[in-house]
This record gives sequence, structure tokens and C-alpha cells, in this order.
Amino acid sequence: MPKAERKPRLAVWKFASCDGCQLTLLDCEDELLAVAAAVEIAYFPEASSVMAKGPYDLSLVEGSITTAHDAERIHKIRRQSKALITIGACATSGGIQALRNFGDIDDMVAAVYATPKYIKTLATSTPISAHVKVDFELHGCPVNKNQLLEVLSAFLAGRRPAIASHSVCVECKLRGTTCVMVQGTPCLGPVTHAGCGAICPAYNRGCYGCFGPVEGGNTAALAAEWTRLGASPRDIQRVFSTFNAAAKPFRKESEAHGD
Amino acid sequence: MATRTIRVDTIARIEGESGLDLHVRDGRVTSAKLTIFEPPRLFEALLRGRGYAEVPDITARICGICPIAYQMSSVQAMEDAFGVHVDGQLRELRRLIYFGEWIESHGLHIVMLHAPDFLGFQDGIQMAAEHGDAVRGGLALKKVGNALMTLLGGREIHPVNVRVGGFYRVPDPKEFAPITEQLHRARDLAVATLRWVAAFPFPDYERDYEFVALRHASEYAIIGDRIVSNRGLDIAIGEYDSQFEERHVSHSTSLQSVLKRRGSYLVGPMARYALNFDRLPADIQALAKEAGLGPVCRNPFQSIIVRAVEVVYACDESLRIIAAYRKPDAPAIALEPRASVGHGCTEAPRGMIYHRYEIAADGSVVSARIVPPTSQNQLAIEEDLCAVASTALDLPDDALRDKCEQTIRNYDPCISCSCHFLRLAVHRT
Amino acid sequence: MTKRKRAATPIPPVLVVGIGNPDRGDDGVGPLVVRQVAEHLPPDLICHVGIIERTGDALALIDDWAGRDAVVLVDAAAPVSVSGRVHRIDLLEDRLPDDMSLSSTHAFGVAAAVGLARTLGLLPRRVIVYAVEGEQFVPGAPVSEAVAAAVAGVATLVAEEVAGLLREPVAV
Repeated sequence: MPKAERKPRLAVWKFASCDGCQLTLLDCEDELLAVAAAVEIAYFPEASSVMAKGPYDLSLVEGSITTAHDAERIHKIRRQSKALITIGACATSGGIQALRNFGDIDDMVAAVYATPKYIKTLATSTPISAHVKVDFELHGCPVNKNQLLEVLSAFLAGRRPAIASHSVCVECKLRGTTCVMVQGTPCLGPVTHAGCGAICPAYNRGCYGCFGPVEGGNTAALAAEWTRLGASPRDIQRVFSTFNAAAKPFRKESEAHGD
Repeated sequence: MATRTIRVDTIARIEGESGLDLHVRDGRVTSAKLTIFEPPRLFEALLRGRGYAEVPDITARICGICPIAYQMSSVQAMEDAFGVHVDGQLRELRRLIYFGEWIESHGLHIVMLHAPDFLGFQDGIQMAAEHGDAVRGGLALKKVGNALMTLLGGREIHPVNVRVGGFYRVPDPKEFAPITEQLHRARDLAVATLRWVAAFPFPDYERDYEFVALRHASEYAIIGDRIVSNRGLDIAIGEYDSQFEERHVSHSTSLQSVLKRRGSYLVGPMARYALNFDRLPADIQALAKEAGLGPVCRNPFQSIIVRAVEVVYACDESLRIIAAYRKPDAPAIALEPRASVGHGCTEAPRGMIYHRYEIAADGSVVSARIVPPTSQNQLAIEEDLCAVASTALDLPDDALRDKCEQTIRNYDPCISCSCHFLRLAVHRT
Repeated sequence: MTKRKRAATPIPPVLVVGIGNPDRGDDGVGPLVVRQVAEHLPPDLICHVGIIERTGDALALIDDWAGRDAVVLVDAAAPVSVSGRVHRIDLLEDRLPDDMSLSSTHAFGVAAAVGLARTLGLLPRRVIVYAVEGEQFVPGAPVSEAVAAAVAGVATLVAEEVAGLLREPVAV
């Protein structure tokens, strides 16, 4: 008896995040119906009321871990997922909410909520990889639509995703944008992972690191260039403390210029 | 007495995830509590000490589907603090990118998140099998909204081009040529979508809400000057604190916003429509009438029609702005930071969003307050749930749950903004 | 089994391990059980779980379960009450009982491997042990009747355990 081709079961999970990375999948308007035909959407609350139990062939996870409840939840997801792929800065580095790791969480809670004891939150925001094994990390804030489709296609074809690992500088060259640094605008591109297509320099501003640190980036040398272009230590400390603030190379450089 | 419990772990098709507890006694719903499961992200605290120029980039990350709304309210607040005003073509460009977000967000909600409720489908993808044209039309609409935001903002999610004072880069008029073509098609699709949703079966349910929205001297306000209501409220944006306050309730990690003197209120498309109907062009008013709406709509299930009307308006207004566009001399106006407090309030797709910042002399943020639309609607949503659930208690569990879910989806609530939404438990005694 | 780098295929996060020496009487119950687990699993779950057999040094288990989220171990236990009786120990809730010596014929027992892994932070999140009481561990002897009769039942239990792990509702 011929074995029926079973569609891979896809689940999409959200932790502490803005939803932008899941939305990127829904933003693949031309491809969305084709993707939906190639997989069985088992769990994707933002798109469907279908909520099938595990196990899942592929889980996409957005968001960081900020509560004990979520730390438990990610383990349940991991054991029920053949492959687990994290999407976006919150899931891969803890997001901007990871700034709490370096401050006083009680102060922060009290600043926002009149009755802080109602809030049960961890003192840290940690990436998914700090809790469970992750099969692939897709960087970005948000992730890039085409890279997300590449990751899905690669998984469906049983191959490793082809995601570039060079810095934003290469993307600027490909786009034909004149380097903004040589025009006097500090830019984080040389130490930032490619993926966005080098948008900011094309819009007359410097890169601010949405895709996190590129491997082997020389943040100290870049910081020196920033200083030469007139940036203050506080400017440098700030630019390394945004959406990938907890990623080690960025954290290290931001601390080097701290208060 | 037997306890009847209905548990819905997550309300699907809403941005984020959350829960609802209904308490029933003697056949009446005595309370409806929305519980929040989105872990708090404490943006207001994170903004302390940051530079004013970083605020649009950081606040965008509060929400993936309406980042422009956060950016617009934040830049307006800081310009207010620094005593400058963005006008002319720069203001028109802001409205244009904002309309892109309205088209994208409404397009997504109407077709993929809300319509399946009325037609009995679990999701837009399954609905596509029988309503392929409508779904493809909705996705095409959404795409045009995204294209507008990408052109003006750099990318559709977390745009990079918005700054205090204006933009980093403004387009040449000829860059609008491709999107003009798309907007004409989008307009036709929007009218077709309006006619499609107008024919849905709507429950007979109305409530006398206090609607709150922005008001402008001549425009259907997306960026306005005053905050008004249908019960006499009429204040400048800067007077927000005198009339509204936020309460922190134990079952929620969100903050509930109320009118000090009267309690719950409603923001969003129905509120805008009710308070600004006279600002809609005559042909749009006619389309609304053809779709079965009067000048005021009090049936939250029919909010889907109101959103569709707003999409048509957004397409028309976008085309008008593009046709009249002249490239400004500078992408942003000059400004100097100073120690001050500023207020901003603009109309996100889901409703009014208010920002308040205190800035230090060196331009860094001393404190931030951000009131998103869904936290302003939370009390009104709970009241609606009490009312709707009370009429549906005889239904079997599944049907009751569906009714509650649909009631909440009427508001297109954005969970990420307000840390909310939904798991249903009904406790009957 | 050598550790082969599977570049494209991720490793199933749930692992079932049958531990024991098939040539020492009832010590072979672990491998016997896990050989039957697959046939009790629904077809859609089989590809989501790894099933392996191990003899000898239990310390190697730490490498086997590296990167997994849940492990179900099946092993023989020294006689305590009744031959063939099954004990289920969930390490999330209980510790391995001291009076039940697991894998007493192995050089470095499962209990020690678990203890070491726990100390080093190398223990999977969920570890569940199914221990089957044996009556004899004579070299060259086959499995005793009572233990052989228990094998199918334990295989079913393990399969249900695995299905539960793979279908556990993820609360929001």
C-alpha cells in the first residue's frame, strides 16, 4: 500500500515580542497561500483558529523568555518539535527587553505599574537558546521576508538554509549606496549581520544594528571611527544597547563606553 | 450547583495571546475579566535615559503591526516638547505613510482575521478555498499598504525613515509612479471588499458607547488637534491627563484606561466614524450608506464594515496626497532639544494612541507614558462580553466560546501593545 | 552508535534508551522493551523520537542525551518485591531511590550517570525511568519467564509515555 505523503506540521509560537516577525510571514502575501499549501498549519494563533496538539515537524519561535511560565512552555515546545527555529532579535538575543538584565527589574516594574506585586516577571530576558537547543537562528528586527521564506523552503527540502553571514557593508555595495561613513554619518553596518538589504544608509542614516553582531566584527575599531566622526561615548554606548543589547560583542562594546 | 467551565486556551487570530474569565450566576454573567498573558515588556522604563532621537526606533518595537502609530505619536509628542510643528508637505507625507499602515492593518484584519468568523471558517486560509477572490483581494490590499510604508519608511515592519522633525529622506515625485498605479487598483479592491463584508450576517446587538477620537478642522482625523467624544468631551491633546487615568487591575498585566468622570469608553474605527462622519467626502459617505451604515454605527460586529470604509478613504486620500506632492527643501525641520514635557496623540488603526514624554536639557528621556488603544478599550470589551455572553448562555460550550472570541475580534485588539488576550473560562454557579 | 554529524536533519528531542546486557539474564530487559516500543507508537509519532539500545558504561548516556529535551530510560532493577514488576520514576518529581540499585551489573550505573549529569547541568529537562525488577542476572542465561511476560506491557507503557510527551498541551 503506497504511503500517503504527509505534509509537514508547522507551529508558530510567541513569547515576549512585538509580533513583527510572525507578521513577516503573513506579509508574504504572494507566497502565503503557496506556503500554506505545502505545510499543515497545526498551530499559528495569529493566522488560524486551528490548534492541533503536537508533535510538530517545524516550530518557529518568536520572542524572548521573561517569565517562569514561559521557561516551562519553551521546553514543552522543544520536546514536541522535530526542528525548532528562532526568528528575530527577541528570540535570538533577548531583544531590547534584555536591557532589564543590566538594570534593577524592581525599579523598572515600579516605574510602570502602580501595583508591582501583580507582575510576575523574571529579572532577565533571555534568548530561546539559553533554555533549549535551537536548530537554526534567523536574526533581524524584524527578520527579512525573503530570508524567512528561504528558511521555510530549506526545511521543506531537507537542506540547510542559505543565509549570508557577511556584514551590512556588502549589502550597501550590492545596492549601490555610497557609504554614509565616508560622508560623515556614523554607521554600525561594518559590525552588523547582513539581512535587511542595507535599508538605513539608502535612507540617509547610519545602520543601528537590527540584525545583531556579525561574526568577527571589530567593534572596538568601529567605535574609534565613530569617535572620530564626532560621536560621544554615550552615543556609542546607546547604539550598542538596542535590540541586540545582550548579544555578547555588542554588550562588551557598550560597556566599554558606559557611564 | 454544577459548575460549567469552558476553557479556551488562546483566542486565535489576535495579535498576541491571552485569556477571559466569565462568572455566571442564575443565568446572568456577573463579571467578565480579561487576563493578560503577554509578559510585560516595560517599554516605558526602558526609554528612560535614552536619547530623544532613539525614541521612534524603540517605540516602533512595541508593536509589529502598527509601528507607524507609535512613531507618529512619539515624534508629535517630542516636537510638542521642543516647541516645533511639522506642517506642509512633511505633514502630508506623515499622513501618507500612516494611511499605508491603516490599509495594511485593516486589510489584514478584515479579510484574514475577522471575515472567517462571519462565514464560519477557522481561518482565512481555509476560507480561501471558497472565497478565493476575496482573500486574494485582501492580501493584495495589504500588500499595497505595505508598499506605501516600504517606499516612505524603508520597510513595512519597524520603518527606519521616521524621525523627530520629519524624515531622514524624502522621495522625488517620480518615485510615486508605481505605487499610484497600485493604489488605483487597491481602491477598486477596497470597494469590492466593502460590498463583500456589507452582506455578512450580523447579530442584532448595539450599545450606547462613549466614543472618543481625534478631531481636525477639516480632515477625517488620523493626525489631529483635539480629543472629542459623543458625550461632550472636547480637549486639547495636552489636557489628556485631566480627563483620563490608568488603573492597574490584578488579573491583567496591562493598565486599563478610563475616563475619570464616566468610566469605560471606546476608541477605534467606530469612534472615528461616529465623530468624524461629516469629514468624509460625499462619495465615501454614499458608499457607507450603500453598505447599510448610518452616520453612527453602534454594533461592534459591524465594525468590519467601518474598517472597510476607512480603507476606501485611505486609498482616496493617499492618491490625493501623491497627486499634490512637491518635494520639500529639507527632509526634516530644524529643532533644538530642551528640558520640557510634550504630548502626542494620533489615530492608530485600532484607535487613539497617546504619548507623553519628559525630556531633559541634554535631550535624554526622563520619563515616558504610552497609552495604546487596546488598553483604552479593555473595559468596554469586558462590558460587551458580559452583555453578549448573557444572551448566549443557553448555547453549548463551543458556540458560547465562539461568540466570545468573535466579540473580542470585533475590536481588532493588538495584544502586543497592551499585553493582553485570551483564554476563556466560564464559572457557573 | 558513532556520533554522525547530520547537517540537515535535526535530532528528535525525545529519546528512548534501553539499557542492559542481553547476555546476562534479566539485565537484557531494557533492550527487549525498546525494540517493541516502535510498534506501539502511532505512525505519525515514530519519526519524532529516537530509540537506542545501550550496554556497558552508563556514563556514555550523557553524550547520548546531550541536546535532548526528554529521555525515557528502560533498565533492569535488582529484586525488591516481585519479578517483572515495573516501577516508574519521574526525575522531575522524585530522585532515584537508593534502595533500588539500577543496572547493578554495569560499571557505572544509571543512577550515578544521572547524578553526575545533574551536577554538571547536563541532564535533560525530563527524565523518566522505567525499572523492571529482575530475578537473575546469570551470564549466558536467558531472560526469566516473569520478566519476559512483562516486556510487551512495559513497551506499551513507554509508548504511551512518549506519546504523552509529544502531545502534551502547551499552556499559554
